[in-house]
Amino acid sequence: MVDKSALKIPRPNPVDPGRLPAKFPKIEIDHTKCTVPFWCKKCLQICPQVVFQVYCKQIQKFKETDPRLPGMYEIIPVRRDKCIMCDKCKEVCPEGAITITF
Amino acid sequence: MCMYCDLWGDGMIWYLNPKNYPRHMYTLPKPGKGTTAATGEADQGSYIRLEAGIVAAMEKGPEAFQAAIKQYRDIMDAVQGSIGGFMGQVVPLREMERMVEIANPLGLIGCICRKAMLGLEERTPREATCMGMGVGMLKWERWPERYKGGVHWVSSEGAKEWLRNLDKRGFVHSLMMFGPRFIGGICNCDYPVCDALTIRLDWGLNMLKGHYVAIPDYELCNGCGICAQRCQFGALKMNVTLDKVNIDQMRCFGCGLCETGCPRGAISLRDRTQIPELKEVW
Repeated sequence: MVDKSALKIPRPNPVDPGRLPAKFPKIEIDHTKCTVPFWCKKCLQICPQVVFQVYCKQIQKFKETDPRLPGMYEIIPVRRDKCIMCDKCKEVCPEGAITITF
Repeated sequence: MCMYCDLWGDGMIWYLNPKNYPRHMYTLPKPGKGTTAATGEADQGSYIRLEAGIVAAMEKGPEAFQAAIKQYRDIMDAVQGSIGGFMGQVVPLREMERMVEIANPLGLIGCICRKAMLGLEERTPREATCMGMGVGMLKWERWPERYKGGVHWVSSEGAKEWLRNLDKRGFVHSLMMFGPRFIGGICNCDYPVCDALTIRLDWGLNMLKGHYVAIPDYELCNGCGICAQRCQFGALKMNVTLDKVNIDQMRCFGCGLCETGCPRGAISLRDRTQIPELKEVW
């Protein structure tokens, strides 16, 4: 077990507390429309700020998850703090599943 | 010496100490509670939610943000065996080459960040930007549902060639710890596609700075600007007046990309601990 009290753990803090609370754009993804995000991945690759992240929702034992099956992967707008509201993801989405409001 | 060296270095730089690579480190349990070893992509969903939670806390205010950062650190300490939320360190190429001589076996895998953030799968060794080290890779090879795309085994010579290739392309090399003290992987990052590096630069989590800082030699520098293009940390700017490079030492992570990219050998890496103002900046 590591004794953390004796250690000098660095505490870098790049976020200016005076900037908080901040207001960020709200990004909603309709998961009933966006069913195969890892197969499509258009919004992931077009976003200039890399806001979205995709993850595997259903892990099956000893088997790779097929990205073409609906509902296996899910996209979350993780870094909304970086979103510049350029609406490129909205334009590129074939299902029209993304809405951005401020 | 960084905090890891104080704990596990035995007088040398901790990642060059062979004691931090052997098999038993992978599953070494903490007294009182078991350690969870890395499970690859199975945890990705919970990590992503943790990050989204930090963004949501930024909307609430500074106290909520600090609480969310503390929660992230505590969870990573419990799950990943990190120290204060730090589970990796930036390492220059020449020491990465020594690391792959110590660690065994070595397996090239697809990068989990690039999969999550860009949807890239990196199924061939040519595309792979991540390396797993040690016995954990044998497990990940067996469990395709945990780590997709499989594992490509390489020798230490092959790993060095792979590292030099990525260095040429301009990736920042860093090591990752899986479980307390067990060095289990090499990341090759760039901002903002690598999650570990992005979180470090935006929120001060995940990675320690390297043991070195880059210093330019103005006698040799001709102001070509190649090094400034390679810096992922915004530490290098062109000094337009003198037509030389300017390196912000407080921002420098010591990755050595500017050193390996300089065609005239004008940049050298110096030990961070020998510079009074920088020895506590990690």
